[in-house]
Amino acid sequence: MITYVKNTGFDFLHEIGAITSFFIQAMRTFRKTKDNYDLITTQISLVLTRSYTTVMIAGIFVGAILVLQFDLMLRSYDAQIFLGGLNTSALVREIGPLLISFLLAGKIGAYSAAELGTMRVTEQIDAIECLGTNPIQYLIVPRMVAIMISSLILLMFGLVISIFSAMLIAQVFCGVNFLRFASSIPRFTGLWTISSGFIKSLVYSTIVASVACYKGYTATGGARGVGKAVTQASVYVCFYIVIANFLTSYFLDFIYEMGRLIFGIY
Amino acid sequence: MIQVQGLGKKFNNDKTSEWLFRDLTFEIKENETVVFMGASGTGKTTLLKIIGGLLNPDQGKIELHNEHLGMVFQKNALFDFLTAEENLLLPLTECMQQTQIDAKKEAQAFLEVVGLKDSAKLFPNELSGGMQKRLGVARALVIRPKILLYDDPTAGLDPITSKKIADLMIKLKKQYQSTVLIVTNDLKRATQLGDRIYLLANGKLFGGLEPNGFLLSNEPHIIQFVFGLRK
Ligand SMILES: Nc1ncnc2c1ncn2[C@@H]1O[C@H](COP(=O)(O)OP(=O)(O)OP(=O)(O)O)[C@@H](O)[C@H]1O
Ligand SMILES: [Mg+2]
Repeated sequence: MITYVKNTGFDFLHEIGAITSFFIQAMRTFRKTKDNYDLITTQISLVLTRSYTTVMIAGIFVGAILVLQFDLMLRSYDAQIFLGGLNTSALVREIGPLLISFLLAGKIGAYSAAELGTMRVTEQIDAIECLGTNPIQYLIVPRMVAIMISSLILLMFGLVISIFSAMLIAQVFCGVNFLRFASSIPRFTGLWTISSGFIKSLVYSTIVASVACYKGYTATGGARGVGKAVTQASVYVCFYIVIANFLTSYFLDFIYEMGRLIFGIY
Repeated sequence: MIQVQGLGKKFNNDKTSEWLFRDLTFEIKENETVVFMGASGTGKTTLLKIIGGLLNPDQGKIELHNEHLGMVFQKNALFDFLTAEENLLLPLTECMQQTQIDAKKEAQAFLEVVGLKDSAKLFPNELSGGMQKRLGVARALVIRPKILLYDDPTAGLDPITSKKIADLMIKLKKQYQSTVLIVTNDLKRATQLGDRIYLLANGKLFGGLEPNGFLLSNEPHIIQFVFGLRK
């Protein structure tokens, strides 16, 4: 039992190390050429077209659910004026980045892992290498960068949608009108909240991109190997994100406190 | 020129960590065509991939005097997300840094050579087995490699298509002056194409003789192999 735990722990660290060095290796081969930017924009548009409907639907419902929950709690304290602020802050700070990255993991992460895994087991990646082209540069970098950039765009899009949906629900079901809802937003959602939301989103999407590409790129053993890569890419990644969520929240709070102490900003 | 010294490879499977082959030493001269034969599973593909730089040997070293090489894969490994034409455009633009216009002309010319002009817009899964093979050959050739590695280029093809591909290989070799390594189990093609023929058996290389010498060799492994094929 102890050896089992020890081995799993060791494998886990080993895997994190491998994924990290894969990410670093990929970013090292980044070229500032037009071709590369073309590849990246193509990938971004693929990611966006594949995921915007999901983000939209999720955004609408999450905004709605959250506002109903907050309303339930705030109403009993007669504090409905905070509804807009709390709701928006929770969306921007935590729920938005988390949800976007889960959606990306399930949709784009799994897709990329399957695509790259199939290319690996059918030797297409070997063929690229044989042509003297670096497959990491040609296949991995555009996908990774596209996932990272898209996550920010999707987050922005999702937040706007969910805030509007929350406003609508607040108006119709909670008796909080648009103006009252909006007026409390700035109190809770400052520049820092917004930037920390986007920083988190960037961190999570980096994880999604690295894990998915790594799993696909290193797949072995035919259809079964690809299946395994896809499962791991979409399941493990959620686990990694939850851990990263804890760490980034902690870290960002720490920076915030330091900033307040040193510069007295609020 | 290709110089191989004391080459060895083993796959670290749990079951066996025996050498697939070891201590292989040979030399291939410029513009020579050398054929490697051997029963299934003796490591011919592995040897070719090591020479092509896709696998690392566990022992020995290889010296290639020319980095520019093209490979035709046993299972083709065509880019299945690209059309036949784009399969040729990718190497030209990515590896030869050609402009789209030049690359397009070149790709058209090569499709013509392998007789796939009418299938330019088809995807690999819409091509027949022989057409895929020909496209694989074309993709390896567009970058004008000085060293060409063919892994079983005529396997599973009918005699007519097989001959077509062999003729194509001869024609292209004349045209572009390259060193050619061929893995095949087709004795007829081996003697037709090869300047020299090697047999890979029991993890060792035998032969390395010109076709007639190979067929008449009294090395037991070669006799067994040739006889086995003819039986
Ligand atoms: N990636 C790998 N991992 C583990 N074992 C492998 C791997 N690739 C090949 N082998 C083993 O190495 C041996 C030689 O394989 P190889 O593909 O080189 O054979 P081959 O001579 O090309 O056979 P064929 O004529 O059937 O194509 C086989 O026993 C195979 O199981
Ligand atoms: Mg083989």
